[in-house]
Amino acid sequence: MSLPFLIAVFVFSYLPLYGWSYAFFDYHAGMKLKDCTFVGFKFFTAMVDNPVSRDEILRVLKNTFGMSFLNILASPLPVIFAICLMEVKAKRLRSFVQTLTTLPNFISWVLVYSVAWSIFSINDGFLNHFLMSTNIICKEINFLANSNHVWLTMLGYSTWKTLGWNSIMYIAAITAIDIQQYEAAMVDGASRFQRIWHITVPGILPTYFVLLLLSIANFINNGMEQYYLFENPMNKGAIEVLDLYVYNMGMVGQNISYSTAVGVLKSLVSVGLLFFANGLSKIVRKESII
Amino acid sequence: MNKLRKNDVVFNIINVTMFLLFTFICVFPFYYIFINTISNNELSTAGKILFYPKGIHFKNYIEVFKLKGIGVAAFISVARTVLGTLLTLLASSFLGYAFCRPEYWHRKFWYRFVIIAMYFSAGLIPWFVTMKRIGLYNNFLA
Repeated sequence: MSLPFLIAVFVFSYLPLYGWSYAFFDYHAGMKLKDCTFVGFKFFTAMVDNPVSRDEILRVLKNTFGMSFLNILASPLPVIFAICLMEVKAKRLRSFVQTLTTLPNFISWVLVYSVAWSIFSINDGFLNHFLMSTNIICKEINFLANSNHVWLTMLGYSTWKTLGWNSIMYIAAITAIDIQQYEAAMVDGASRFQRIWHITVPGILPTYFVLLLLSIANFINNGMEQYYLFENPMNKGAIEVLDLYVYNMGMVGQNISYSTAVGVLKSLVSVGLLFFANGLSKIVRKESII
Repeated sequence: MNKLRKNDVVFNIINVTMFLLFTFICVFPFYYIFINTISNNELSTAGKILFYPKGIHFKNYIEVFKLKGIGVAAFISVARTVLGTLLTLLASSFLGYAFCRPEYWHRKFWYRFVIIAMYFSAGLIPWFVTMKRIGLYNNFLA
């Protein structure tokens, strides 16, 4: 019954691990594996051997950690959104807001980039035209190809895209809270904020912790699509995360063995983080998530 | 309840305003792109279209529908979504039910097996090689 799906997971996730052997050979595209020279751990040590690659790796790691940390800091935002949304009494307004804010989640990052281009681009974008036509600024601002606030910008796009969707789970958790607690609190004379703080928040806290721990386990898995699309020569230094670095080195730079080595290390650290997050969960909440 | 009336009203107003603002931010880009597509093309490239369309025409849409292969592409998108959702739902419910039953064979091991698969990826090239090996190259089922 569940065997075909287990087999599917095996074929699509574990079988490609055979490709990790590319990291140990001096592989070039098109050659068969046994024709390549075996180099052992050369590419793994090449990461920290010379100062140039060490600086590169440190820069990429700094970007990855910075953006993941910002994402974790922004994780209470869907909670606040859900709590405030449930405080709105008009049901039609609530479903209207919920439908429209979930909309950006369903478009792919490619479309998000084209939307961002049409709004923020320097000569054709809506924002620059609007600000120029109302004479608020005299020279156009380059929002997209600016390396100053890249982390915050990426956080902004990611929040715009996922806020509505992530809050769905919290809204479901809030509706599952027993309504008698609210009635009892109102009888006891609790104000709105006291009700939120003492009833709603403890009801949501288990959900929040599980999702927080899962996002800790995904700390270095930032994904590639968003950063690949918004990357341009101006902000490349600040935007390149580990997945994007692996892609750039492997596909664009054709340095396949090196990028596979970096990918191997990244996957191992990811799995390690998963078990670390699980251990944290066991200590804090006395139950494990895997 | 009556003595907290003023605070409640203020909170409600701020709350609803913030929501309407955020909803506007979520929806406006799509609206902007839409009115640019139905407006006069010269005005659009000059950047004169800001909040409402000018010179409405549908020639752009007619051009898009004339593109070769767009019917096939749309059909593939729809089919992929439908089949993908169905299969994901099936797989999740089967595996979820199986992992809930305590008498399942080596339940903990298989559960971890599946969860850990979420956290690493073997990389693009091994993925491609696997697809080629099992014959899914250039195939819809991939």
